[in-house]
Amino acid sequence: MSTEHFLEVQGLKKHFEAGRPALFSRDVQKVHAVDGVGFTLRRSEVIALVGESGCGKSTLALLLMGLEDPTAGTIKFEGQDITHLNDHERKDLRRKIQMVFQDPYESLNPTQTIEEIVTEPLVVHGFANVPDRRERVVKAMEDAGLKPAEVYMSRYPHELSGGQRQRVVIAAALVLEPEIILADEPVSMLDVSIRAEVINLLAELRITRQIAVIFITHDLGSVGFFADRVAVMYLGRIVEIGTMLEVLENPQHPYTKALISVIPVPNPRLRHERIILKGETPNPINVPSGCRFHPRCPVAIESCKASDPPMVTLSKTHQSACLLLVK
Amino acid sequence: MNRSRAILNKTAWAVFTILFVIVLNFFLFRILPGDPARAGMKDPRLKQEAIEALQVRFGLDKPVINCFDSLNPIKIGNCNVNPLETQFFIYIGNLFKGDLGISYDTNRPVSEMLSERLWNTILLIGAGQILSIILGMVFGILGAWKARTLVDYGSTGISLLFWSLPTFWLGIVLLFWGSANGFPIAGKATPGMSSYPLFQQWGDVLWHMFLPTLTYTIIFMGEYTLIMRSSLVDVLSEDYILTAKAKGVSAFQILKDHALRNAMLPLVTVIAINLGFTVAGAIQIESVFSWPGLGSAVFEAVERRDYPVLQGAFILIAVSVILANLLADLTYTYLDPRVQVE
Repeated sequence: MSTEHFLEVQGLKKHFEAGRPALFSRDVQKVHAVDGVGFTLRRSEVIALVGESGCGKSTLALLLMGLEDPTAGTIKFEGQDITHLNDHERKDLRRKIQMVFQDPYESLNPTQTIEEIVTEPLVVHGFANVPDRRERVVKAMEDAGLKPAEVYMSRYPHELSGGQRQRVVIAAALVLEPEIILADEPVSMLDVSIRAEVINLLAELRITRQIAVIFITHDLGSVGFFADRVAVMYLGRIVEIGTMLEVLENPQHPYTKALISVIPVPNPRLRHERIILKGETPNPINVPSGCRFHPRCPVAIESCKASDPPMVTLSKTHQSACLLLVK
Repeated sequence: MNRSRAILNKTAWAVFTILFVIVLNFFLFRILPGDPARAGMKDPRLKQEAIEALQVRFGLDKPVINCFDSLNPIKIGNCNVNPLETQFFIYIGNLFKGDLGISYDTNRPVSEMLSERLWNTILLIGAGQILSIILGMVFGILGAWKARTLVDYGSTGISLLFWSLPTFWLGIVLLFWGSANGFPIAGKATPGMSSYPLFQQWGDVLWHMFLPTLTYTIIFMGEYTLIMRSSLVDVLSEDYILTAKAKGVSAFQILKDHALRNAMLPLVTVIAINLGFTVAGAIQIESVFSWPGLGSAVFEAVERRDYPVLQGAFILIAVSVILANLLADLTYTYLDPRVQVE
């Protein structure tokens, strides 16, 4: 099996209908939540998907999980097209792709014990009666940092802290021994002191279990040190993608440059000028013409209003969509 | 705090509340304008000896409580009475023996009168509640599961209509409809049924129950449907439902294991409160259909100023409200592990 084509996403689009602009208007407005996203994921690779809120990161996660049906585009997993699957076909796939949601306070059922929560995926996927069921649960919990697992098993989610809850969510994702974990802002609801622990945990898992991680975040600073590659999303599209070093040290897209310039730097002597973007993220119903970033771009030129920039290949791994890079 | 202590704590509070109600109930009926001692004996033709004989029979010759013959604060009465001989302590003592006094109107023991009425009410309300809970849950779940479809709009619209119908009005409409279609419209049994075999008597009672139960079910079904639907729609949009979907849990399992248990909580509260109040709240239905239940007993007692019956019925209603709330509390601690007692 080629590692190059582990997970392959091409031209993925999701448009939501947003009602009519006026009561008797004929045309239905559309939210272009995800508007042509393409990337590949290699086995046991960590890719960070960065963008402002509202740029379509979470919708992309739901599309990859098959929880939303894409409007266009394809998703291939190990060479097999998984874009549109029925529930039955989807179920086998869910074992291999698991998700960690943003808010550990909301994503655990308050009436289930931790043991029930972590065991449920096994039961659902027909491992209810395997002899090592309990060992699997214990192993998943301890791998997720809930040690010793017995202490936590009979507790309820409300008896745990935010960090512990997120570990429960991760344990429930691990118990099926997935190949990909999709983490949708897994640390944004946690205290800063706990964020590093959870990120370290995910970084460890890709080494110990060879799990690929798609790490969705709005905070470039938090992923810098463990992602292999970084993809920057703006208004439903990836505007720059490259290895972590390429994107962080040598950003090419003006949006990426702005994002990186506002990462807080602890040493005041190393501080540099911040690029503060004007205005807000445009409404994804009326996407700007041409380059969708041009209304806020500090270096936009006249032709940016007219033509949509193509992805420009800067190196074997580094690509960016900006007209200024087209030579 | 562990669960058994929580249960004990809540039960203790319920008992305390009941004791408070018992005391309050006694004074309430003696503060009321229209002295109970005279209410039933206003007839000017009654001789003094006859009035005194009646007062002795109903225990009204004794002082209300030590120093007070009546609850008139200006008139200080005899303070040299054995406290246990006052009306208050006799009332308390009798209450614990299950004696609620004697009806002014029928001269029968109140406990006897109320207990046969209570069973009729429990029969009617029990059937109505069970039916409306089942139907309300079915339509509520259906509405939430098919949210924003024609099924949902239909069931929500009809429920809203049912919920807003005035009880007595629906009762009267069904009464007209029933009488035109050969349903029994009054009472609990056909006169003379007692000579028939037992199962035929039961069938007759069920036949008589049809219209009042239907009224009751329609009124409460609407409320339960709406609560179930909105609560379930809320729960279905929770992140843990999405998590369950991502785990691969089937739609039916999500509904059964994740959504319903959480969505039941508001419904349990409303059902328990209704259960408590409907012992009294069935007054309208019982009056329209002349159902010999507790509600109509209260209605008749008010009309006839039958204070001992009212006093007994009030205690019964208060106790049932308190017990229903206790039941709701206990069900809650079972359904929701987050509920803890301080």
